[in-house]
Amino acid sequence: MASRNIFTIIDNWARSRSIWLLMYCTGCGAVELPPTMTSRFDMERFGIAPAGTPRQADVLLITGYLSIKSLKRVIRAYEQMQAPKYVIGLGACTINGGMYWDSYNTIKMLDLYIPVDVWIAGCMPRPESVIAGLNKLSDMIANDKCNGWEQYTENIKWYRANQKKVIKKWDLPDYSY
Amino acid sequence: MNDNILDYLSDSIAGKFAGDNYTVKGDILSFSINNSEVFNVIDYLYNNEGYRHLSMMSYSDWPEKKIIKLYYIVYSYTDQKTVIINTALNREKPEIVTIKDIFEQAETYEVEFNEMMGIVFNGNSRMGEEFILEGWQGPPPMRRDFDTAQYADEEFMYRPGREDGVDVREHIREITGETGGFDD
Repeated sequence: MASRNIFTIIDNWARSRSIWLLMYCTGCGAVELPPTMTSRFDMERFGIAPAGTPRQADVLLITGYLSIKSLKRVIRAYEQMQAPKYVIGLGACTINGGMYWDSYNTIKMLDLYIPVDVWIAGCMPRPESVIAGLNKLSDMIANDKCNGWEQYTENIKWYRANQKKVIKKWDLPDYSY
Repeated sequence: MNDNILDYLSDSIAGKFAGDNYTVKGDILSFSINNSEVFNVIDYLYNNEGYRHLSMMSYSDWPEKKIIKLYYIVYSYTDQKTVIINTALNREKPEIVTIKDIFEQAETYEVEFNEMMGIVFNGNSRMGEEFILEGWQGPPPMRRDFDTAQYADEEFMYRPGREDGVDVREHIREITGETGGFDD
């Protein structure tokens, strides 16, 4: 960002140390998150905690494949989140379709529909990888490199076109971002 | 428990509607009937023989025979026996009378079959309702001649492969010096 002054540095420092996760647990990756959260791997030692609703969350964690129907809910949840907001794609399904590459009803590339800041590869990634990914996100936030949410508002037409291409029954409001 | 109950049912139901076309295996009587008799047979089993539990409904697609087979599995708590009724529908125009007046829960099964297989259940007012898929415009996706890979290829964009074209497994072997392991 051009206007990088002392306040943005402080803001980003604070944001990077208090990450609230919204987990969209429809995919298989959801099963890796309880151990990530609880005592064995304990993501809270990095200041990462689960959030209850989209409006209170900083990070949207997509834990695997998304069907067309759930993509619609994800877009809705993402647009409800307050900026600054970040997205993590967890698992091979969000990257290139994974084992659902030939499914008639799952999307193959998540970043066509919402901007993704960090990918965590694997099928499924273990809690260590999840924490590594979250730490990477934390570093990126601190260094002002996560601007997916800005790209989303700038390129909303491109994203909307992609979304409408797969979501045939479009009933989302156009103003909600 | 009456062990001869299936013999009795074989005579009274299967014999009447299916001729010799039935099998008894363990606790299960299975027979095939004409699709116009399905409602009557299930109604008879429900009211007269006590088969009051619809365990499951299912279907299978047979494009080579040009039929869709429809299965109704009913169970009796008094006899502790299972009866499987199957019927063949014309694949081009699969239609049958609903059994939701006998088993209410069949209504939901029928909505799903309508969406996934294109079977029309006459008398079910929820035909055409969206069950799992939202805004689906393609052919019924559970039909065997529906090519999912081709449909996905036309419908979705794929991420292009790596530019360097490196075989990942080979690359890992080169770096780590591993031998053996998984041969993909």
